[in-house]
Amino acid sequence: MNKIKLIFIVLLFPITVFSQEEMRPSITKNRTGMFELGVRNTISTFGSTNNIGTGFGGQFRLRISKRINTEWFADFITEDIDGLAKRNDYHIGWSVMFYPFATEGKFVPYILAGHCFDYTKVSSSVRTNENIIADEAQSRLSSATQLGIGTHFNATDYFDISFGVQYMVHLGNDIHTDVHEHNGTKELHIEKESHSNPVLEGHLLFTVSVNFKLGKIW
Amino acid sequence: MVKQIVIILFFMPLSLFSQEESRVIDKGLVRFQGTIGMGKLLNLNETNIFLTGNLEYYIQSLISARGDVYYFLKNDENSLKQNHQLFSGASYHIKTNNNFDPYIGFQPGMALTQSFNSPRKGNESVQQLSSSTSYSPLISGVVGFNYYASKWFHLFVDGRIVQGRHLSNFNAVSLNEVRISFGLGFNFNVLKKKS
Repeated sequence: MNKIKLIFIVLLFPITVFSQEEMRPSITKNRTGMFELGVRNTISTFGSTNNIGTGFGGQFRLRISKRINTEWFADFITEDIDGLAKRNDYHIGWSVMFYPFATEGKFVPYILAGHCFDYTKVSSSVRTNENIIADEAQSRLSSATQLGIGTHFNATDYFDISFGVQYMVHLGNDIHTDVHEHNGTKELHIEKESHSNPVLEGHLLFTVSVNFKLGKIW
Repeated sequence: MVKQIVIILFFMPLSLFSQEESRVIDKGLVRFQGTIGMGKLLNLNETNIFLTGNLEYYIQSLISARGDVYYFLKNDENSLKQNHQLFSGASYHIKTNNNFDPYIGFQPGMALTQSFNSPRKGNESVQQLSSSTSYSPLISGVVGFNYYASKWFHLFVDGRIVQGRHLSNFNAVSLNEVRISFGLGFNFNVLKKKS
């Protein structure tokens, strides 16, 4: 039932911009208070497993001054770990975007920094009929901080495509996978470090998003 | 005979072209459609068949917000048991002076997927095990055109490329796919006053 509700909510996302004529921003240079809503893809690279993850997510933005915008996001990223295990990452967080150069025009570059909370789960993806012994899935919660750069491409006054790259570093328990072969049987180990030994783990995220400027809140 | 029927059905929307003077493509236009979609999995050389529909709103004559749903019906080789997909994003419509509406778009999406342990490949006696179901993020681009024949109907041809990977307790399955759908859609403008 919840899946059906979720499907309807996502499918009807475009309706959120229906008939917002009264709220719709006029073509003004003062963007303060602008509220934006969008969806995005994220590519996760250079992580601890050296595999590439693909993510789907969404965000809203609230511009608090001429040079400062805020972005509130959620992402779901999956990663294939060498064909042996899968890693799911759930990110939720926020970033402050600073516009050091142009604040309007077609291309508006930005610097961003922010915080993120994440839930990670690593589980085996080996076939049950193969000669492999696999550990149980492991999961963790962690917090992260990110720093990056990007640019908006303002296709129109009400719509932009944004390209960003950010380095996100997590502080939490490490989960790693190893494969050993013992008497002809492969052993897939999924191990989580103890709470007393948190580690830093980082990855580089490339993000492409489309955003609709829905209106000015103030 | 079958080909003739297909051709007639395909061009049937043209009978709706009523030479309207006014341009239908404008801010406030809502279009929706439901049809059958076909896709070719690029890494597996298999064909998927979907029931598909979308809903689109033009926030300007050049930009629209769009949501699409694909309900998986069949995979020829039975490599995939489930592959339902959902997309949300935007399209950029190339400016024309008539009711021909070519577009390109970007739509991130999600898939609900489940695979078999091995393709059947025509051998019905092969025992197939199902993987766990999982959610798979998708990257997707669209290209196509609409032709607004009247205030209420349009013809469309929609092409899509999808990039994704099904990860489960079985081996990973590539979801990379090229897809096409076409047919008759419906439209109306929520902002234009009745003339």
